[in-house]
Amino acid sequence: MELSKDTIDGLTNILNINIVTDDNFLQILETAISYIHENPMEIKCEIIKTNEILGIIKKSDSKPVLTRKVFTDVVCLLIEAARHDLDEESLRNFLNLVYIDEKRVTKLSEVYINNKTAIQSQLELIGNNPSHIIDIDWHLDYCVKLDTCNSLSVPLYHVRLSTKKHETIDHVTFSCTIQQLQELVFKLKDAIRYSEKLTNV
Amino acid sequence: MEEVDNIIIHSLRQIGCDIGENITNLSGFNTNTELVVEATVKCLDIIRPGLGLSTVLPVNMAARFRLGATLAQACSELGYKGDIGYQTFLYSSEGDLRKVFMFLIEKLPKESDKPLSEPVSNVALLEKSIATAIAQSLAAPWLPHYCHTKGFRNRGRARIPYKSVNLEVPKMESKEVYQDYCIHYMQSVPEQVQNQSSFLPSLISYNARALHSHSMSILDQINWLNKQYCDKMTEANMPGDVNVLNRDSTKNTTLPSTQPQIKDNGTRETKIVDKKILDKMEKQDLQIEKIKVECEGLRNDMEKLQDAIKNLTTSVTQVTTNYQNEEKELTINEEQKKIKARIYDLFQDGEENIKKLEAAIETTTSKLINLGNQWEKHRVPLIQKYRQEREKHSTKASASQKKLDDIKLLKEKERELQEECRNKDQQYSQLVIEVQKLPKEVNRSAYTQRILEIINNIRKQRDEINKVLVDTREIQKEINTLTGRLERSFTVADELIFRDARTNEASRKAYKLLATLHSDCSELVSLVEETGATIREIRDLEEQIDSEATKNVGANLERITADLKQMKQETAELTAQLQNKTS
Repeated sequence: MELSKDTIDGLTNILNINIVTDDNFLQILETAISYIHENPMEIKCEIIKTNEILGIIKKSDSKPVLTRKVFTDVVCLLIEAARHDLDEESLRNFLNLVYIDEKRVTKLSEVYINNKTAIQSQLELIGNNPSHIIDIDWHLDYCVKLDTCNSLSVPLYHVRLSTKKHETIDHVTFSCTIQQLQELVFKLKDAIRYSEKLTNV
Repeated sequence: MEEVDNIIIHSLRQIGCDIGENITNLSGFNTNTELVVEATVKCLDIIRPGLGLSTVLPVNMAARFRLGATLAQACSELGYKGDIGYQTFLYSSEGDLRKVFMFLIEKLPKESDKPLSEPVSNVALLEKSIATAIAQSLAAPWLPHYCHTKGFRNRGRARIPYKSVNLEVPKMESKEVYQDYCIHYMQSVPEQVQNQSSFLPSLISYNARALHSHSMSILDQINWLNKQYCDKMTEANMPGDVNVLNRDSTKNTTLPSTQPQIKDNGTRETKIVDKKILDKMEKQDLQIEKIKVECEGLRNDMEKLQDAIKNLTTSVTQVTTNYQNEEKELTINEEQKKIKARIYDLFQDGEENIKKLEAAIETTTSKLINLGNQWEKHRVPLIQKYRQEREKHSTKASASQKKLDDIKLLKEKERELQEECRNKDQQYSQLVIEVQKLPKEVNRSAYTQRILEIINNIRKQRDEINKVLVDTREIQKEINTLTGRLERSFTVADELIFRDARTNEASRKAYKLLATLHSDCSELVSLVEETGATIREIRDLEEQIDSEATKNVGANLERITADLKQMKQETAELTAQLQNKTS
């Protein structure tokens, strides 16, 4: 895991008892965690949380700049640690390189371990990926004749795939003959077989 | 059945069951519930490690029943299709036990199934983790998309696009104005992000940017550039400048060397008189001034002299060049002078000299022609020889080229063969390893032989059965024909005697006798048939008795009654305890 020099400086400050008091330290940790936890959909709580942070900043009026920075640094640390999937031991090692105060390091890593899965599941929600197929509708038409062809008599499948990307549901529609549909099904079966083969390593 | 029992007991001993030497077939298991339970638990432990059942049969009856029930459940979970319950293990019958053990021993993992060595390389580990991830997602049951909120189902289905905002975080070491701005006007980080969903991405981007950014100020960049430039330049300049520096340093060192000596003198005299010191100091200063002036004069002189030397050297070079030019002119003039003198000599009697010259020219031309002819004579054979040699050379070159090609081909072949050889070696070593890995089952051949023997026996038995069937069919046929003949002869005899019966008294008697004889005989035949049927029934019943006997119901019943008694006792004890407690 790597953090910028600025952030590491901020961490040194927060781990130092002389600069940040114990109460403030705990408050900052709590807010940081609750902030990461927050489901982005719940906007109401969001506002309250923001106000709380502002409250903290007001409380520690002596060093408002420091508090602002330190909050960001703690959140950065937690996110980066969760991104690299550190366990408690390695986080401790990392923090011990920054500053040696057993009590705060312990507290910080404890908070991290308690919330690691939550942070990671929040991080998992972020990203770009191809849209997923979530549903499929189809109907079968029987085409009797066309204007260009007097007697056609061909069954025609109409397929609509529902896809989902970033919470928005989209539709992909196409029509195909039986052979084409069969080919698609074979391809899908191939894919399934391949992924099953991958599990037998 | 003995073969099967042997195999079962052999495999049970292999997995570590303590089966005594005297037990040779499964009927020995019947009376020994502990052994049955121990063998089953060990088999289950190997098939599905982690069941955590104890191999020792508990004393408590209820615990015994529970153990039996769990064993039965484990077996049915493994896919045992037959009828199974606690009674199979606790009050065992031979046939059921055989079925259960055969099933369990078939399920035992073979040696080839055991995982070889754990993969060590990173790639193998990665593949394994991919495999587990895919297996996990394949094993998960389907859920509608709106249920995919958290956990591994959601992996790869991001709900929030990665959109980051430039975050502004206050810096500690800044000017007062900036600090003021930070305190009063800058929004806190969460407020800077308008859309809450881009909070985490913004933070990640912020950290990455801080990690990898270069300084943006021009001064830093110029410094960096200069550094790069200096590194290059110092290498190139090294030899030239050193001399200049050295010259300066030698000049400077000559001067100060005089000063310390003078100072030394001064310090000694300070010890004697103070006044003198001042005088001396002044004197010394004067001296120093003088010396400095002298030095200046000397330096000026030296510079003048150096300039003079430079001027002189330039003039010397000019003079030498002039001299060389003039010498060249001189030599040219001398040659011209010689030619001219010769011409003046010849000019005195011109006619004769011209003739002589012509004659000389003629002789030289004839000589030239002769020489040309001779040259031609020599040249022709030489050219021919040259051509021949060239042809020879070309043929040789082509031959050598061919040989070279051959050599190349051979080398390629050799390489191919070597590769093939290497591949074969690898295959060989692989095969050797596989052979070593293969379980050394000595039993297999013995088993197959036995199986073949059994098959042969079965074939013989089938033949015999067929023979017996044919015999019985023949006998049936004979019986049928005999009965038919009997019927016919009886009717014939009946008619003949009946005709005579009206007239003859003896024949009437004979007719009566015949009728009784016929009825008696038919009675006899029916009796014989009945005895056959009863014998068959008896045999069936005997077989049933045997099959029931194998289930050793009696012994099991005794054990069950004993267990029931024990249970009653235990319940009585427990109720007594309960009463004691309540009272």
